[in-house]
Amino acid sequence: MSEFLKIILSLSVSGTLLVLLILGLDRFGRKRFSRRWQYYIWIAAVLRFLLPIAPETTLVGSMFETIDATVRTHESAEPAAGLIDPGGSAGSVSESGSGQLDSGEPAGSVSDSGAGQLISGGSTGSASGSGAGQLDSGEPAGSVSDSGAGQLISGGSAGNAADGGESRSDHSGQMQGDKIEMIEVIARCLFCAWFAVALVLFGRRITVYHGFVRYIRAGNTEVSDAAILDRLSDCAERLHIRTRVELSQNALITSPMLIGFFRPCIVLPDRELEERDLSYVLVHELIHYKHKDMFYKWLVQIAVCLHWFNPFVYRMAKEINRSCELCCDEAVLSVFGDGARREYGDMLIAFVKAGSPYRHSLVSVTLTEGAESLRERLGAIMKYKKKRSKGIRAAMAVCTTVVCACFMAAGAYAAPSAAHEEKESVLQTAAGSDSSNSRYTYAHRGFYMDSYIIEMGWNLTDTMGIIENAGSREITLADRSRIVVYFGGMPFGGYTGNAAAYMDDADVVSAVTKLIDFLKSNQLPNHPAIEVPWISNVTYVGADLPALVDEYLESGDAMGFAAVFAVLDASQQEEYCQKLYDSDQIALFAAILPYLDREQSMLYAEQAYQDRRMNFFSVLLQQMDPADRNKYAEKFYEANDVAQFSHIMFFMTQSQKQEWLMRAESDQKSSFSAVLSW
Amino acid sequence: MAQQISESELVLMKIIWKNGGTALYALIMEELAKEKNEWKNNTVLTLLSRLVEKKFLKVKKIGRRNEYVAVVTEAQYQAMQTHSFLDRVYEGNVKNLVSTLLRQDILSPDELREIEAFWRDGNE
Repeated sequence: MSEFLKIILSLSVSGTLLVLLILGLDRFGRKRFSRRWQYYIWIAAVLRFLLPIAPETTLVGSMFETIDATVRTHESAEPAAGLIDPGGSAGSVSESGSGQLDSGEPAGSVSDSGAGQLISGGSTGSASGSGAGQLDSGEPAGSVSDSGAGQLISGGSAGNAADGGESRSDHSGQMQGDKIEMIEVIARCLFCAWFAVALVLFGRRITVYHGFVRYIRAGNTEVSDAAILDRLSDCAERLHIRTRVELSQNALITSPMLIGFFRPCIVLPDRELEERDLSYVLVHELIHYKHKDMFYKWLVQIAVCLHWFNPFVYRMAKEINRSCELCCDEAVLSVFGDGARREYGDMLIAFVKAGSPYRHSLVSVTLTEGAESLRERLGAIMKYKKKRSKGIRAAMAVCTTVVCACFMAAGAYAAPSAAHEEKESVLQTAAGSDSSNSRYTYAHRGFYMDSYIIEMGWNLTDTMGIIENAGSREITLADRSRIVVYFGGMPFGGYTGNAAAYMDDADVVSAVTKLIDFLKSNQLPNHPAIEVPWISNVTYVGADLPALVDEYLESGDAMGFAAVFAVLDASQQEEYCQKLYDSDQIALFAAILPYLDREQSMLYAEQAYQDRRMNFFSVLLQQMDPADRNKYAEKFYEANDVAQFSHIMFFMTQSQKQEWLMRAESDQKSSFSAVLSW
Repeated sequence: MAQQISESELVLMKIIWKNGGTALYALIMEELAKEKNEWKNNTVLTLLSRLVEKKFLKVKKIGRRNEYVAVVTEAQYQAMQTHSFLDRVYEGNVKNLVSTLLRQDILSPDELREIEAFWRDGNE
């Protein structure tokens, strides 16, 4: 709604600017420029009022865009919460879902699905529980691990978040939200009011038009005098008008007029007209038809209805009506020649004397609009000149170009998408993700280092909300390179981090430095390179690793567990891994999966397969190489296990599926081919 | 069908009736030229389309040309006009009409006798 309102307002402003320009030019060129030019130049203004087109950056457009930007920075506080969520699961997906990426599924979309609802849900233990439940229900492994693992990590971090200054951040987010709500409500009201008035005005015009047309048609008598009809035919020919124009007489009018858009009819008053006068009248009305004045006038009226609040639009309508008649007079005289001036003027006077014509310029284009304009018209007729000097012609051309230029420059407000998208892409490149990272959008994990559990995310691309609100610190790494690390809580509800508080804590900073060094040197498998790191949370946990591990094991804190697991030695890791498997703690198992090497995960996969523990199997399936997965696909195919096969199918590329389909068809395994052809 | 047509329109209708009730536009223009009528194309077109509106004529498109077919025959037209004339001028009183015809020497006594005979025969 407010978008539309902005468009209307910007159109109004641009249109007004153009109107003022043309009025100015008119003042200068009134006596010299051709009436025709003066009449048609207004089209620029009318169109400017009606069409929301403009080049990318324009005066009025940029004006409205600054308004937009201020609104957006307030809004950005809110949606940044949403930004974290996809990150939460993206982290887990990229770990466990690297197989997916290879198979051609976009990481982004996968991460989108699960996480959105999660953090707002905010459950911890229950999340992991339901995650396991979903696995059993036989959904494709991919989405399950999304929701499963995604829930875990965010569950873990939500646990921490609850400790932090939740209420504080909630509150400030709320206030800004309220402000924006109010603006939206006001915008909506204004829009409705504007629309209602515009509709009423336009409706009125239409009903008046219909009423008048019926009134006229009621009193119409066709002109049967062949001589007069012949004269009409003559005039039409002279003007090169191809359509047939009807002619009728009407007792109800005092001034000749033209009605009808597509089937024109000239209506004459009842009085007797001399030959010459008749010719003038017919030619005048035919010229109105030829110039399509009816359409022009209606277009102007539409602009008036849409911009009813703008006083300049009425001025424009008045000017156009005036110019309409003057332009017509000019054209008539060009047909009849200079000598006809006197008689033509006499005729106009005679008609005005006859009585006030039905004054509705919308309904018909009359011969005379009334006495006031008559004086001007007579003056113009007297001054009519057929030839125009080169200088004047040049001046007219110049003015036309000026108007056109201003038409574009004044511009209108284009909907924000285009400009906004540009900004977004600029920010993305600024975030500096290079091509090798392009498959990963955002990752977020917990790490244990030096008695701290550090929750870190990296490769931020949706930086608007976060970077603006986070503190930052430049850290020098072991290889002497420098990297900017963001520490930041987000000041809005749901997810909070306390990292900002630790930004200046020397111990924390050194831990972070070590961590980044470690990560850089030991590129984690299935992980993006470190770019734009961002610390969301820091927790001091002490150095008693075994105790910590057991603690997390008990509490089911997946993030903490995974963080500490990473720094255990190999035998300890194996021990705990087995413990998890035996105690069926699928959630924690999934969390530490990325830390298992291929051998180990294959072993567990085989184990899970043997034990028919399909929940574990599915989770492990995600992490497998495509080659390994295919082996299991083969196994399931041979064993005619369609259900399990379909799980694996989820990871296949289209061409792989095709291969399998052909094979299934030749082996006549109809259930497989059915599943494969979905 | 109760509408009046103008003089000019009647001219066109007569041409069409003379041609057996149908006529192409081109033919109509030819006949008009023969009658020394110099009406313009548009004029004739306007009159013809008015006749179509009044349901005196129907238009058929033969390729790119228009053929006009009379819906009202000449006899029907004469009957209509006579009725309306009678009603208007003589208030439906036929006797007065006939007496005017006689008095004005429009109708000769012989012709009247013929008519009477015709009338008597018709009623038996």
